[in-house]
Amino acid sequence: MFKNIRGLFSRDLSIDLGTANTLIYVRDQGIVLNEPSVVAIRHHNNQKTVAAVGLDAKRMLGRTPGNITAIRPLKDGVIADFLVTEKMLKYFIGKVHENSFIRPSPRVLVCVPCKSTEVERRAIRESALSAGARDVRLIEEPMAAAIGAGLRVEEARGTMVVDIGGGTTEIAIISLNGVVYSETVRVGGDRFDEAIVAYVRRTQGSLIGEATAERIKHEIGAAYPQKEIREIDVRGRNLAEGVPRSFTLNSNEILEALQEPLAMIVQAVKSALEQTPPELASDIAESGMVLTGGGALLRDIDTLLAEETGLPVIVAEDPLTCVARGGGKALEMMDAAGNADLLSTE
Amino acid sequence: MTEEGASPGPGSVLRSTRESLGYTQQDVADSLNLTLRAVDDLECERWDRFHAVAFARGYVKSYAKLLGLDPQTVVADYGEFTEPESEAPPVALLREASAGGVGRLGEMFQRQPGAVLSGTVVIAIAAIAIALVMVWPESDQATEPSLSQRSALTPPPGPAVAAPALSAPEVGATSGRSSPLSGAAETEAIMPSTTVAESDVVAASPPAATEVVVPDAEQHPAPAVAPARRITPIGDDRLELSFSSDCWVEIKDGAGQSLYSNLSRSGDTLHLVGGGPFRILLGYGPGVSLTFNGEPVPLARYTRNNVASVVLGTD
Repeated sequence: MFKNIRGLFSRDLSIDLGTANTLIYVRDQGIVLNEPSVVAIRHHNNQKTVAAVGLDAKRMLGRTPGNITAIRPLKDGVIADFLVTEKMLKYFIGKVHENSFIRPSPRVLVCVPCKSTEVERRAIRESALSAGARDVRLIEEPMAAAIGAGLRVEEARGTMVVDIGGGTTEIAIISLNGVVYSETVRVGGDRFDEAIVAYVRRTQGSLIGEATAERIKHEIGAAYPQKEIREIDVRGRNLAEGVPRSFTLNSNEILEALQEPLAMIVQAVKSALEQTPPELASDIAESGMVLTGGGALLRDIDTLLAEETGLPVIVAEDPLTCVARGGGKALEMMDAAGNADLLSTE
Repeated sequence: MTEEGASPGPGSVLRSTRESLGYTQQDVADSLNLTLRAVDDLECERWDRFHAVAFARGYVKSYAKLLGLDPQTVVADYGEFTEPESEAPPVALLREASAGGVGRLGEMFQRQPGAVLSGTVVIAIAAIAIALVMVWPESDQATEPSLSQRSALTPPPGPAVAAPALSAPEVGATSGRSSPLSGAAETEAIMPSTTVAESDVVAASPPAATEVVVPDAEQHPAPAVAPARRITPIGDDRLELSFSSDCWVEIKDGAGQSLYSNLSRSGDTLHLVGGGPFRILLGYGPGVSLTFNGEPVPLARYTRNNVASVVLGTD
């Protein structure tokens, strides 16, 4: 009863609870929150308290003193630490309703990976409910991504979406508001970073942190050989000497570093195409596939997939926010037309 | 839609750039894995031939990138040309079809009628509560005089009204607003703890009690000095209490029977006549000076935690 009353003063939210970033879309307002899914926990006399959440906590990653641990409560798109996820969601929901004097109790649509188990979905639902939501609905990420990319999911026509997130890559064939086939590979932006760290360690004999690896990926990372070679100066700890050293990396080296995770994505896409029913495969051959998620921002990843599959590949507009935007649109569609087909079952 | 080949839009930009670079449409189609027809549709800006706006936009971007143009600029041109089209995504169509011109509250009511109703009820309750809170102090003030009249609304001295005097506060509180006859009935009703014999006395002499009390309450709301009051039928011991602060007074006889109880205000003086012994309880001893048969009683020695308890008139 009270949740319903508080709900009148809350806004409907669509949450893309990602491994790397959490995005929140508010009806009629758009994306209002885009923060890293990181929580800094302070340990004091066997008690744990939240020291920081989101951007502030991410700045602490790898730079914390002994009694503070910066952790990512989600792993591979699902909840790894239930309580911390709940705290994080509560913080984010509160932040979206900062101006509200009544404790918010919104309706929430949360995007979940296709291959998440019932237990994992229930954990996400419970977590959102504990964080103050009065009604939690789940939608599969590729469906939300397709809607967010502006595809016509309600038509009897095959559409292929590849959502490259932080922890996982979701590949799905969608038709008539439903997922016909889906495949999830545990490769995403995080694996790219890890691959860069491993490559630098192997070739330069230096150790760099995840944050540095992410910066390298953003600045010179590419999935396909570039006409123009880009370079970046990096500082890391030399393993042999034990002191910080500066060195230079170029885009071809990073391309080489990313080969393994990229090959896994390509393989998963090819596998999905093999499993696609022939009628839908024909539609996909004509229109191609759409890339969404933060991983789609890697330079020329569309060119790589186009060359490997022989299909047209396009990158959605603003791929990073596609899932959250799509979730918001799905909420509107469901309210407007009473269409619950889009929802995922628990 | 624009006419084929006659537009300076993104299609013609792509076509002219392709021609200047010496590529054929087939080269572009092979590079982008598109059909020849799709490339032609792009150059001729036949956007409706594409399955979704997102695809057309994506192809334009890929084509621009292939030709070395800035994809964002070309897509921005595309946006200008197709704005009316792109403003009508399926979601918007669905919304218009079902919701029509209904406003946000209307939409909410359609979605959650229960929530809207309960919200309205809560707002109404909140409004009533606020109104009550605003009115409350006034009603407090309105009742305040009747409370302060308690000490004034004491029955006159005399053996006939000894029993009503025991319930003086209750009588005062009710009789101010009641008729003489109903006042008697109420007095009887609100004294369940009194003995049957006392109730009989009260019931037998209602006119005397109320006739004296009501004019007293109206004409002398707070007399500073009251005439000596008899609290027991016999005896002539005199008690005199002067109050320098508000104090609760309770006097019982030797058997523990209550003879007098009331809250006295600062500045009041109480004269009582009766036969001892008197067990006197004063809620705030330091605020009272007590004399018994003209002799002052030092209350300090009987006072603990500001409460004075003294027995006077023992044999």
